[in-house]
Amino acid sequence: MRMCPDRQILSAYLDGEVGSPWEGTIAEHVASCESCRSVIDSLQTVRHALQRGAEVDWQQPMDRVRQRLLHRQPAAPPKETVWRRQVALPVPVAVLAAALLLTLGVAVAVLAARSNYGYVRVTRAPGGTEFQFAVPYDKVEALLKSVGGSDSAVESVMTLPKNVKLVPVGEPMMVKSANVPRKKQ
Amino acid sequence: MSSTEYAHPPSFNVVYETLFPVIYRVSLRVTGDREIAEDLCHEAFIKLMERNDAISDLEQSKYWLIRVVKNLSLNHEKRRTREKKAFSKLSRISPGLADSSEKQVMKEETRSDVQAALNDLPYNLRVPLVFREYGDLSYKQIGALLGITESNVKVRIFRARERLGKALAEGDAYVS
Repeated sequence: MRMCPDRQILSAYLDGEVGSPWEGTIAEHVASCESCRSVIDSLQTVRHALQRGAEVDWQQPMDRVRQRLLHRQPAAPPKETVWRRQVALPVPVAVLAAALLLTLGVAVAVLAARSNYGYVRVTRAPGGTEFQFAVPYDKVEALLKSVGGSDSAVESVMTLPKNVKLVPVGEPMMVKSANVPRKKQ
Repeated sequence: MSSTEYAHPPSFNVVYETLFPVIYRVSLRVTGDREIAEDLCHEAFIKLMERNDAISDLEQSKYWLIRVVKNLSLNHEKRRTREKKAFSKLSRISPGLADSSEKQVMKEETRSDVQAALNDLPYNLRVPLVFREYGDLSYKQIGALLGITESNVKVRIFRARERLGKALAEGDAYVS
């Protein structure tokens, strides 16, 4: 090789990164070329300086990191959202739970409907036996007739819904004091 | 079969004992800060522990750990660049104050002339050289890690050596 190789190639040659056909040729050239030998020497100087820099105290950091790794809390499992959580239930338990939920749902619905419609309740206790009637607002008149039309002496207690609002319209038919026990002759 | 290949994957202890010095050197020379280098090693080995699939040999483990260190060190490098910019800004406003602050940071971060010279190299030259000299990676591996061609690796390593040689010869690096 007459021409000197590029300095980048000499750097790669130093790293053993030049392919085999060229490696020998460059070695021969460097042996006979003072200029290239000088480049190689300066690159070697840098390499030796870096190698001296490799002498770092790694034992203490190594021990500290080992301790940190040993006392490390295990990684928390990924959080599963409630909506994506799967629950395994035996079929009978699942059926029972569904029936229970359905019953509860119906009960709540009935109670809600009753409270919404505002039932008027009348309790009658003829001869020690207690009867209960409950009618919505629009049937109050019929209820009063039924109570008034009784031919025997009975004690009746009329209970109005707690949140009832009575508005006097025309001839008042019913007042809040209707809650007072009324004696029939 | 090379000396680092095993019939069964090496245990974590073997990997740790063998590779910690290499990974620590690489981290230290890339970041120039002992504490950060230690933290990077800690993070890298945690990631290795959490890997689901076993790594077959030490050479592969080393390559994998250096890749993790490279990714983690990027954040540090960004912060360092911001700090350097802040220093240069400060030096324009108050030259005396910036000089003393920078000297203090240099004193804390560098403990050798080699490290000081490495710190002065741009990140894209420093990293290939460190991976080559301290990680003993081939040009092909470095290229794959950095997403550049082997030819580019060759150029960067040469330029890094050239600049480093100049800096060391001039002796302008800070020596504690």
